[in-house]
Amino acid sequence: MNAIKVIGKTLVASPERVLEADADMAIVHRVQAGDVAAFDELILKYRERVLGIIYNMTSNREDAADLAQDAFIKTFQSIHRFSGQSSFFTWLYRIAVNTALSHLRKHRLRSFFSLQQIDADEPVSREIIAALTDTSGAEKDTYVHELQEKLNEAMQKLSIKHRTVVTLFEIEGLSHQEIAEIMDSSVGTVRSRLHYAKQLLQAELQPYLRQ
Amino acid sequence: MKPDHQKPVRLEDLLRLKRAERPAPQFWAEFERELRAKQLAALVTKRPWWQTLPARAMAGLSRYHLPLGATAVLALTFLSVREYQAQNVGSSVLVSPGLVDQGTENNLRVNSGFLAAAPGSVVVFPAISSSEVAATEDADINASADGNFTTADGADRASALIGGGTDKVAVSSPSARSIAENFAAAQSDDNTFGGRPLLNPAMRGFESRVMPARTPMLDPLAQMKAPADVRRARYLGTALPVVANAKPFTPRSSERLASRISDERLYESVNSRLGLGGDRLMVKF
Repeated sequence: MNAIKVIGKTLVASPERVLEADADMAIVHRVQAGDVAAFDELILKYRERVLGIIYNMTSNREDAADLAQDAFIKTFQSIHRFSGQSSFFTWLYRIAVNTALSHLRKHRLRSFFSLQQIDADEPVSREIIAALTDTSGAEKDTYVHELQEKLNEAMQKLSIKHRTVVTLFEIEGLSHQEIAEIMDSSVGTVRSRLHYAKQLLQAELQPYLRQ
Repeated sequence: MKPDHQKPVRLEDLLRLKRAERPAPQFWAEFERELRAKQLAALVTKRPWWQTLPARAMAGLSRYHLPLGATAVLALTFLSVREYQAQNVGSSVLVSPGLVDQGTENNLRVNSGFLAAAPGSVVVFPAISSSEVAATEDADINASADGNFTTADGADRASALIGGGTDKVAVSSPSARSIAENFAAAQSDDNTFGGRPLLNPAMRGFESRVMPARTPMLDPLAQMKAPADVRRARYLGTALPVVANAKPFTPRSSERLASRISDERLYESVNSRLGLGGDRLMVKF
């Protein structure tokens, strides 16, 4: 039963996603009808997620900001061609991922980190950090910063496609089907890549893991 | 630094930590401003030159529509007139090779004087193909029978040309008369002008090299061999090859044979193969 739930979660879009897609489509129709200001609603809604995807792929916040802006401009310029065959957020994610992939291929040799601050007040991150260390204050911040660097290093050791799959599935929480649509590949390929990437990350981050 | 050993930490937990990597709230104000600037820049971004080239070219040419149109019309007119004149000159130059008197340098001047005198006139002569032109230089080209000009006198020929007839007619027009007079004066002159030769000596005889002579037309029926001759040549061909090759009934062949094989050689060849022995004729094969 649990396995069926997992498969259902990864293959079938949730009702929230369906409602979200309908709302997005209504805004897209407004933009296509000439209400250009309606596009701001889409930017406000998706800018954090788009920036997060690109940031986790590049591990550079300046590049991520530039690429996210470029992705939104590309989306705006070609929104009249969007026919609604897929959901808007899938389409927008695909543009963002392709923009990041193009940038990464162009600057393959250049890789330096420019990391964002971890929001330690967020419940999930606070819980994880508490599980990892029993200290507080400056020592704790140093440890978190070290962990963050190790995480990004491990991510950058993955290939671009493996990194994209891990980012979309583990960090952004998309389903296999959605990732397959975004990356224009099969669900099996996505699963295979995800499995291989997690094996590599496991090996890289072994000192920080505890069973 | 001692971690809390009570809770397990999995890879998914560590990756979830990356979700908490978020920019500061003031970052979004800057993000918004830059996005607006990029949107505006995208509107005025110059398109590639190959997309804007046709529009720019048309816009640049719009100021010169009238001068360009006038220039095009003038160029078209000039080309048409030039082509028309070239066609006229080309047809005038078509001069029968039979008209050329070989070996006289005056002929060149006659023809050029004729062409200069009447540049616009179109004189069409019967065209003669190269197959009809004989290779021999000593052939008589003055065939009076078929109406070609036969006179050696260039002035008479010029007069006949200008008169448009094929007979020896008198010069009728004043211009033709003056051309004939000029030609006669030039012919009587010593080909010098101011002590200098008019024509380069190396150029003399140029017309004889350029225009080959024309042989008289032969009746095709006259060139045909009689069946009896063919049969006789075939019979003799095996026994007397030299005799068999001789074509006594064809004037051209006999001339060619006579020019190539002397009578003595022919007699010796025949004599070597024929022998008389008493009352018998011996033929050697």
